[in-house]
Amino acid sequence: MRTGAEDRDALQDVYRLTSAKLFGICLRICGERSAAEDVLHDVYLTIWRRAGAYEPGRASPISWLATIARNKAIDWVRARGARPAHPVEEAALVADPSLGQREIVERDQESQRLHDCLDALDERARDAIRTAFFDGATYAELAERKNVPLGTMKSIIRRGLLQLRGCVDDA
Amino acid sequence: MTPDAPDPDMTAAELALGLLDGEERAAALRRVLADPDFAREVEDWRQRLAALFDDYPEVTAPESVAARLAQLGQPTASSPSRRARWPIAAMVTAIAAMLALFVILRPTPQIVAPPHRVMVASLMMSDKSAAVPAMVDMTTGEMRVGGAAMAPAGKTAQLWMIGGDGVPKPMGMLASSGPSRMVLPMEKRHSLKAGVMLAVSIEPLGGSPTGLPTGPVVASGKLSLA
Repeated sequence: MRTGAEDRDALQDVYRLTSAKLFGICLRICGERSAAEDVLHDVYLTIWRRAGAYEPGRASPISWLATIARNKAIDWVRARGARPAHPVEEAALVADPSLGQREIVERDQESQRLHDCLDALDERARDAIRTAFFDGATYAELAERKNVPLGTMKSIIRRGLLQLRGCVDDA
Repeated sequence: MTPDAPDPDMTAAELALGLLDGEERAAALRRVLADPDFAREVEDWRQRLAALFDDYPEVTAPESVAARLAQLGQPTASSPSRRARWPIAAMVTAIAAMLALFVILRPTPQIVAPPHRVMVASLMMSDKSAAVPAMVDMTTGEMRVGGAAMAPAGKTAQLWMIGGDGVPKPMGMLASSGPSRMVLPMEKRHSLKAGVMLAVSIEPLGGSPTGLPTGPVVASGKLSLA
């Protein structure tokens, strides 16, 4: 018979194995530490309550958890209505570059293919798509940051995404 | 594509990436509910882009969050009943087990070795009371099944695989208590692939005398790539 303590231990194991990655995601998107901590807490509460919704066939567990963290962090940013001035720089200051390096080495085949295909895009498209993913930025925010008209930003990204899909699916 | 051509419709990717806001986002979300093909496309994009999660730098999480989480599961007025929470806790355990395996199998940077292919299954108990994690390392043939007392005294729990031909093939006996570990011979390893069903039946001590399940199936789940 399981006990409450065992249940907590299981969640603590998940936390121990995943919290550095998920906190990295929250911090990068929220751009400030105290908000990232609150979002991280909310992420694990969600995992605790919604673990039954995890379908092993659909995504790797870490992708499932990372998707929850990214969505929660984006929700927080959008609910607040404004974005910190320099989200990237602030997150980069507290990041541990040695861990990032290690992960690059550990890329699996599928991940390598996506990265190769991104590298094949022209620089503007690649930069915009990566920024959209890592910062959770919308079209409007990207257009403002890059100082280009909204329609131009949409065109750059849509064509980039079309090329990316063709490249990933053909490989 | 000429510069004048209209933009391709990439709404599924735009939704998965989070590029849309306001009414555009609301419309795309409505389309997910109304159009299964579109919903699948969004999910495909999520999976394609999931590789980018590798690039987020890891940042040590604060102790305070772990401490707040440690309060979970303490009996409080608002916590769900044990009965309702049990399968959820079992799924957390399954995720923890899979992640632990991930960490063990990820090679250190110095070792350049092909990644081990791992198949996982979550064996749901027939009464839905819990899910038991099962994992196979396809490189070494090592199979692990999480601990769960399934068989009553005087009986044994036997693991089976059911592939495309629909015929159950015996894989081994599960330990009467605690996790089970077995090494699968090469020919059994070859027939394991995503979608193959694993099942546990209750059999006489020593296993089914007929080579096919004779007792009730108490847990089952499909294999998928980890």
